[in-house]
Amino acid sequence: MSDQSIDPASASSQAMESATAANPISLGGGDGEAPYHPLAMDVEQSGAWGGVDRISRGFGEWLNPILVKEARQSLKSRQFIITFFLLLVASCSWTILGVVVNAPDVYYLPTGDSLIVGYYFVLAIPMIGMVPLAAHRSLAAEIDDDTFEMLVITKLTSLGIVLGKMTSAILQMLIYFAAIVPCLAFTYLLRGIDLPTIVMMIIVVFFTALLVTSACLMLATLAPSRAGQTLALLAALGLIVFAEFLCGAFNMEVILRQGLGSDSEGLLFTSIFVVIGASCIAVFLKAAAARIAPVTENRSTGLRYLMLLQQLLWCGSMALIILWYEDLEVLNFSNMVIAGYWLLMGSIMLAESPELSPRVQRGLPSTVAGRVLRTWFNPGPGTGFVYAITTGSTGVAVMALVGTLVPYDRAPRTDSITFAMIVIGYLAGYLGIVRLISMPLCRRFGRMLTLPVGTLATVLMLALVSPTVLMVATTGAPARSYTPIEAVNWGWTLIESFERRFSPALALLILTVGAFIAIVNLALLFREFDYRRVAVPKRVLEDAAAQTQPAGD
Amino acid sequence: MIADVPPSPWTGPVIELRGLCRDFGNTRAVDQVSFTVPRGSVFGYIGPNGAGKTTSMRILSTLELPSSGEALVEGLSSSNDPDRVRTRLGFMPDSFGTYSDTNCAEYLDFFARANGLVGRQRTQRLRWVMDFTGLRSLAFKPIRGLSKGMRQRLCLGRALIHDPAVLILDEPAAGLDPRARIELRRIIRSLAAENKTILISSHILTELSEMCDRVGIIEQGRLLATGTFEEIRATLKQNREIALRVSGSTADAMQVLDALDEVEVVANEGNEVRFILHGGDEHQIAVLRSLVEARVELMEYSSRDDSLEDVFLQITQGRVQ
Repeated sequence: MSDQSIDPASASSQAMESATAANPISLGGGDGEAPYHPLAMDVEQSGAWGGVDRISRGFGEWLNPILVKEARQSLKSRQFIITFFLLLVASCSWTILGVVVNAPDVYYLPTGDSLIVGYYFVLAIPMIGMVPLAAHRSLAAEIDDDTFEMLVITKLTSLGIVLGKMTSAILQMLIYFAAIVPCLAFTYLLRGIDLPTIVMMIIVVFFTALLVTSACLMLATLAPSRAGQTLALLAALGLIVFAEFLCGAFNMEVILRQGLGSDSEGLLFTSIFVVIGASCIAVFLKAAAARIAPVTENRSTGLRYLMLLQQLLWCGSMALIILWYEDLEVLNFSNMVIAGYWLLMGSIMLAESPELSPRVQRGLPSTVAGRVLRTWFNPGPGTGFVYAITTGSTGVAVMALVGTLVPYDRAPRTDSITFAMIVIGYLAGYLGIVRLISMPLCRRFGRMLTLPVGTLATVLMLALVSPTVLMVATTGAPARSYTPIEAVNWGWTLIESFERRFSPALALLILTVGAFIAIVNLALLFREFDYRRVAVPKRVLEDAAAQTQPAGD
Repeated sequence: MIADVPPSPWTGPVIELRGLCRDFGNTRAVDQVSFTVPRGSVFGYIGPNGAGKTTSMRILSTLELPSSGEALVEGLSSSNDPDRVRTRLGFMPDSFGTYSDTNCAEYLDFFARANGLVGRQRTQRLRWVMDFTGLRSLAFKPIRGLSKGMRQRLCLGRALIHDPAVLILDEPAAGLDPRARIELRRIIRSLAAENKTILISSHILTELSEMCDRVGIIEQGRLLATGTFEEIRATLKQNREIALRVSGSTADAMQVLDALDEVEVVANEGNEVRFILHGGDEHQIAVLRSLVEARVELMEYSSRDDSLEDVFLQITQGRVQ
């Protein structure tokens, strides 16, 4: 008999170990007899239903995993159940109310046009209001709840994550839409509204909802901190309210009241809205994906190509309208939009890091032609600055040339070339100033998006008020009429050039000063063009080759 | 049985950290950390809270970028080739979020899909993971309703769902019941036997000493020691606690022990003496010889070597940053 003392804890531990040793590998605690969850089971059923099940499963394999997960979550969520129930209640109530109020005319006279107004709101509130907000919260909650990191270490790409969120939002929209379809069919049967108008209304609501959802997804990725997320949520709410108002006004006033659904003008505007809207959706989604992608990846080049495409679509659409209406005001408005767009996008690109990771350097152009044409698409604040100015200026110049095709008989107005010179001068000058100010700020406080964008807002605001302040300081009163000193004031200058013929000499001065500031900037950014393509590491090539080899080799 | 994976042609170290540094503002969380882990071995990462364990594990898992240095998985950089590294990696963080309105099976199914598993391959892995984690009977249960231990199991299941070659486990035993801890230990050894490479951190040092092939001790971001437990212990000044029981009075024994420089008496009660011996086997033999030559009537003589906890306490100083 052994006299060794036995530690009770150790004994129990050994007993457990030996008890479980006979079992297959398991942490234990589970019931081996419990049936497996259906998700863990293959389709074994034969016959027609088994075939349907197999086909459905096969289809599900192609879907984005986030769409599958979100669909399971959303359809069980209280928010969806309540919203869907309220939508059904509202559409039924409106139908009953419409029929009762219009009785007995509803049997003899066309009354569909009065009913569709209510159905519009029943559809637009969940589609433009609830779905984008849910998508925003869904992506923001991934970051808040620490689930995002688990997501990014899977095979899902950042764009795949964003597209998953977007497609699950689209699925919700389709469910809401499916619920209202019988009501829309009912309005058509009541007469008073034609099918193209109904279709156009649906297209506008659907595209607005897509646009707002993609913008809300992008806003969700802008700020990882709690305070930033609150601001982003406020911005999303503001955007939703604005979109509801704008979409409502367009549908009520343009499509439903003026009946633009069936004429060519309505078709033109809706087509342009869809084309530009689609490009904006692509940019928003790509930007959201870029925000959540690892910093070692190239997060800029794809976006720059998309922005170029967006400008092409914008210029094409605007040229169509200008030539259709022969209106130079549209051209000037279009050029102002281009300049504003590139000022904002240029400022955002100024927040990019000038350092390129080895991974990004592997994808740089290697030929001379490639370097000449594609260097501007490389990530970095310097290339971004040049890209914004050159692309924006080219767009403005092309539009100015389109303007020369329009019969020019409005003598008091500034011609398209002079207006383009002013706009290009402001774009180059103000973006150059923003770069000169934000460069040291970014070095001191880190590369935050808010620094150059905030600098841009400040510079533009100071440009508006500084001539007036100077005038008040020197003469004691603000200027009553436009003088050359107001050339800094972009607001007054643009209004002036809209209302009367602007001096070409002053326009040339604005262009020259802008170009000078841009050239000063150019001298500071040559380092970014020193990057050369680096070879893909041998180990990566080996791994790529091993992955492409068929199994069993 | 773990799903069959084609053997990787890579013959170098599966995990390699080369001069890894990570700064957060003025604080250097990880400072020049370098070590390698060969295929099929378990490396224990030990250090006090705030030592830099989690940060270096996150860098290796492609969730953080190093300020300098490199973290490699099968020779692929976690910062420059994160997509390639992620396919080889299962990461179990010390805390993780869950989704609302989702049950355990849906959670695992989602991560299986996200890791590119399709069809029968996915259902097989789901069944294996559910059996492995003991979550089979809880498959329908919402995640929010799970206990801490069950959530740990679910997280381990998620890390294993795509059958990765490398497992990075940050405090995996936290929240597990004693039986599950024992099972975890056994499972980690069996995973290593299946050629999985495992980097594991834990505060329960006795567990690590039993399951790890090699350990690294980190404090204030710096790797203070690395190697097998025996190698690390050999580099330190060795301390052994020795207890002896004599027949009658301990006065003779105390006289002998007091004369020896390498001995530090800590207790003398009744017929028992306990003392710390600073030295190796040769010193222990010398002490025993002295006691016998002095005709001390020894009834019992037992020694206890430094445990991993003792080694850890000797190497670290309990500093945090």
